[in-house]
Amino acid sequence: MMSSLKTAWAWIDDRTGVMAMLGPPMKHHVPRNAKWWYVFGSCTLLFFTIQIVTGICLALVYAPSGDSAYNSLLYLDYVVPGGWMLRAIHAWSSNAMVFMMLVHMTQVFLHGAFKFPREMTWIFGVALMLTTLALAFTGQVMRWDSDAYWGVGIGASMMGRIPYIGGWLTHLILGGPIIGGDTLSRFFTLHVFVLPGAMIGLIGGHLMLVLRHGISEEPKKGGPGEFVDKETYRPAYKERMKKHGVPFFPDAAQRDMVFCGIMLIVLVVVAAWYGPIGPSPRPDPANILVNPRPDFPFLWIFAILALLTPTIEDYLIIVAAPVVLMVLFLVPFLAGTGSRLASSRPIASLSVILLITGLLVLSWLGVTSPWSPHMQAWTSDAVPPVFVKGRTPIELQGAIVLQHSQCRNCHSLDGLGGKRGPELGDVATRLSRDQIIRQVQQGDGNMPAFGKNLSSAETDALAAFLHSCHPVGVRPADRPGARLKQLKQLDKARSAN
Amino acid sequence: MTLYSLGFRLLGGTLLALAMVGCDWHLPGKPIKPVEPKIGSRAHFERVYFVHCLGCHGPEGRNGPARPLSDPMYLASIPNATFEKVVEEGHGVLMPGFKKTPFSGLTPEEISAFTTSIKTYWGDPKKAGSDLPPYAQPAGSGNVKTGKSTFATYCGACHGDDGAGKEGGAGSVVNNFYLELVSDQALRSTVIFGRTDLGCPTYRGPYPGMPEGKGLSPSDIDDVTAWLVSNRVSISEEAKQ
Repeated sequence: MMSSLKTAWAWIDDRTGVMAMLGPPMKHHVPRNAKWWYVFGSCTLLFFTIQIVTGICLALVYAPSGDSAYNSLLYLDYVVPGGWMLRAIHAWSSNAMVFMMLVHMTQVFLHGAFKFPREMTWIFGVALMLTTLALAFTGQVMRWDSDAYWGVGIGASMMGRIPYIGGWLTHLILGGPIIGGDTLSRFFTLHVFVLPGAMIGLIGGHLMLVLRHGISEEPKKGGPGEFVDKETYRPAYKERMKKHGVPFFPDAAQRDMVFCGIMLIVLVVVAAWYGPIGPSPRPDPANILVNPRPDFPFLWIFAILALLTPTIEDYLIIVAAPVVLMVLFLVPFLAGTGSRLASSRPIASLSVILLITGLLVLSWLGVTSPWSPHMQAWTSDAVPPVFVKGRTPIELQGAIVLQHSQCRNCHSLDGLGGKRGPELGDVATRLSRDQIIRQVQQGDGNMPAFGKNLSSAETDALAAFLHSCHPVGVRPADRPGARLKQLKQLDKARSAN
Repeated sequence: MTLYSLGFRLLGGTLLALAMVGCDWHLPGKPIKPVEPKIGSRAHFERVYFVHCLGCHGPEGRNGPARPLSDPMYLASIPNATFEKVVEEGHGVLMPGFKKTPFSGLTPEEISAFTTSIKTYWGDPKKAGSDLPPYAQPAGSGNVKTGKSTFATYCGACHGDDGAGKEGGAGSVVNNFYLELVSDQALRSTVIFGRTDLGCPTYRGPYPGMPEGKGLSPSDIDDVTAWLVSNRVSISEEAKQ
């Protein structure tokens, strides 16, 4: 049996030359110290492969049309055996791919592996990063739920801000003036045909460059390849690989396999535990009872756009984003030679720390999104009984005005309600009754003015209730000057006596 | 064990896990098809209350700023048709209607089921007692002058004899802004059903300073309501003064 298989394989190899083709790449020498730091790129490739396999399976059921896409997800979730798991693995491996790609890029950056002669490898890597993010974004649109709808809306409005071509570009992306069935068709084409094709081409180029220039050694103080000099690096590296290098297969590949195996198990466990991502409620521009948010890779953008003042949004989108991308592409030309040790490159190390901290904080804010109103808080978040007991009839009416005017959608009482505005449970310690009335009537900052929406009676009742909101034993804030007036009256009375 | 054999075992384990999923094992991440609660069921009643009423009427139908709905006496008194109309169209200045709109609200069938359910689950004819006064003020009833003195006798201990509140008391009930925000029926309901969750007695008492069992008669209720309503001054009248 085995001899027959060997004979068959020998025949295939003889006719196709497959071993002659695969042999050199598999046997090419890599640095002996290229150990566990070097597994992230392979793992990113593994997640992409999983995306391709699960994506093909999903495409057998998914219906890319405006009126059927959402239902086909429900069909996958509830009817197709294992369909939910397929969706879960596809979605989580997308997140994992973005995460692993960022880890890989961070490692390459900190090890200075982008320096001479591997500039093009880095540039291909940045292009791969953009393609991966584009795949993640278009993949989110495939769900065709409210997250997808608002995600496309925000993406299109960002495109629309580009001078001269903004309108045309938005029309091209949406397939018309509004988000509709044509939009989904365009994103489906991008997600299933264009971007995976581009990805495969770029991965091919990236790997070809890796083989051409070899894998850089892990930089160590006084170790080989610590400094990059254009004159000496190439021959020295070649010499070192000849003397001390080990073949990629099986020496280095075994670590890749173990790490990929572990990550695969982690992926399956996460997918089985957390299930598929979405779908959120159906897409509808008139439905405000949704709280849309993007997938993990874009939460930080969501946070930035929500926190920025509108006046600088244009500069961020039109100027800052292209500049950052340009800097990323130009990294190997800005610091193409010199030391590769992270400890000798303080600006690079600090940049990574700042970037990771910023991304983590912004993503966390994106998850919690304290700026998003809770649209149903006015009817479904109870006024805590502690704010009801002992209140006068007008104060109780004020509490109803608070609910009825939907103040709770943005403000919390005892931590319950929206978090966009300040907590109101102790508002009387900060604002006097007059200040509360002014704030309600005229608004301030992000708070709209309610002067035209509330009658005098409603305003008075609301102010009465809010002015009763202070901790026991803490006096409510006085009207500025009120105490002074009292003292002056007291002085006057004394002097009269 | 070499790293290779470890890698193959890990891959084997993953494939086994996937095979388990293929057999449709019930794993924590498996989405459960949401089941809409049946109209008229306890789950439907609780969901409607949670989404639409909890904010003002309080957890468990009491201790909210608006009228408690888990009050057996109130539920026994309010006619079904009136209750449904209040839920559908709203009432007074601040109670919104919850009629069906494209994205929220309740169908007439849901409203009817909800008002029936609330009476079923929170109502208690035994606790409500018999001989309840009429829910609505009979037309033409109520003597303002008598109502003022009755109010001072029964309610003055907390609200002041003139209803304008007193130091350490329960606050004013003749504040014009308050009277602008509440309907005549809301005033009558408070006189009849009180706010037992907040310490305000029902028409049966006990009233502070009054003997146990001494309560308001139906005509007292009409009089006190008429007097409370008479304190409401319209903006134009206020301007004239």
